[in-house]
Amino acid sequence: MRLGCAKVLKSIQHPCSSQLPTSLTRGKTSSLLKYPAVSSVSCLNFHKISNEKRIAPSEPKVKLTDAVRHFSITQPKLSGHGDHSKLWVYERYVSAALLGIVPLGLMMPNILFDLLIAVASVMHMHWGIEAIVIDYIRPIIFGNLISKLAVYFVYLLSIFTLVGLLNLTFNNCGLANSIKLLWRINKQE
Amino acid sequence: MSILRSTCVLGRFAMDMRSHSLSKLWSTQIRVVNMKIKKAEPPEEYTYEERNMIAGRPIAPYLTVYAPQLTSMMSISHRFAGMILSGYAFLLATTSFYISDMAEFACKIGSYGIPSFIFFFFKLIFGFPAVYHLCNGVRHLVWDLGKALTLKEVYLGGYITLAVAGLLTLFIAI
Repeated sequence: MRLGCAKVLKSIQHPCSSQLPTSLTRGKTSSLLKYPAVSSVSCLNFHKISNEKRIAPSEPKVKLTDAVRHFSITQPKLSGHGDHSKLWVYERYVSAALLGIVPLGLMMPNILFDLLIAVASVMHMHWGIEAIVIDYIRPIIFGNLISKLAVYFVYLLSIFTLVGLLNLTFNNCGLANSIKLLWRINKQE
Repeated sequence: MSILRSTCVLGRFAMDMRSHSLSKLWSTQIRVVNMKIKKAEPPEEYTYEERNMIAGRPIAPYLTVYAPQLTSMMSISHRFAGMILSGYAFLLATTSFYISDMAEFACKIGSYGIPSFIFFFFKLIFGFPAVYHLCNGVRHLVWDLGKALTLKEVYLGGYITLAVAGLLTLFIAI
C-alpha cells in the first residue's frame, strides 16, 4: 500500500497540477486516495520536491516517506450513509437561522416565513430529540430493538409534526398567526 | 624474517581457530527457532458498554456522585426545555387537525372571561422554556464558535442567561 502511494506521488511531476488534486479528491480510481486531507499535504510536499529538483535535477533526492506518513488511516467516506462530518455544522446553521426566522415570522406573519419556521423548527427539533434518544435510550439498557424503534419513532414524530404545522400554515390561520392568537387570548376584545 | 614467520604462524593459528574450535563454539550456542504462521485470534466481541457492565462499573455519567452544579443543571434543563418546545410543536400540529379555525377557537376561550392574572401565570409557565431555550441556545452557539469556554466565562454566561431569560419571560407574559 505504502509503496503504491509513493509510486503515485513520484509519478506526478508538476507540483499541485490539476492532475494531483482531482485524482486525490475524487477518490474513484484508488480506494487509498479518498482522503480530502491528502491533497493539501502532498501539495505542500511537492513544493519542496520541485525546489530541490531545481537545485539538483539529475536525481530526486527527496524522501517521499514524509509525504506518505501524512496519509490518514481514518476513512470517513467509507461510512455506510455517506459523510456525516458536516452535519454538526449544518445543525448549528439551522439553530442560528431560527434565531432570525422565528422573531421575523412572528413580527410579520406570512406563508413564506411560516413555511421556513415549520421546516427549520422541525429539523431542529428532530436533531435534538434524536440526540436525546440516542443518548438515553441505549441498547445496553433498553435492548437493541427498543433503542432502534425509538429512533424510528422520532422520525414518525417529526414527520407528523411537520405535516401538522404545514396544515396549520396552509389550511388554517397560519403558523405564526395561530401562535399570536393563542398568546393574546386575554388581550382581544 | 622471524617476525614474518611468527605472524604467519599466528595467522594460521587464527585460521584454525575459525575453522574448528570457533565453529564448534558457535554451533553449541545457536538455538533453532521455528516460526509458524498462526491465525490471529479474533478480539473479544464486547462493546465499550458491555465491558463496563461485565466489570460492574456504573453507567457513565454516574450522576449520583456529582453535586448539582449550575453547568450540569443548565445543560440538562436545556434539553428538557427543548423537549417541552417540541411538545408545543406537536400540540400545535395535532390541534391543527381538530380545530379548523384557530381564530374562532381563541375568541371562544377569550369570551369565557378568565381573569388576566391566570393568563399571566400560564404565560410565565409556558413562556419560560421557550425563552430559556433561546437564551441558552445563544450561549451554546457562542461555545460552538470556540468562545467563552473558560470556567469563569461559562459561569458568567450561565448567570447572564438565567437573568435575561427571567426578565424576557416577564416581559412577554405581561
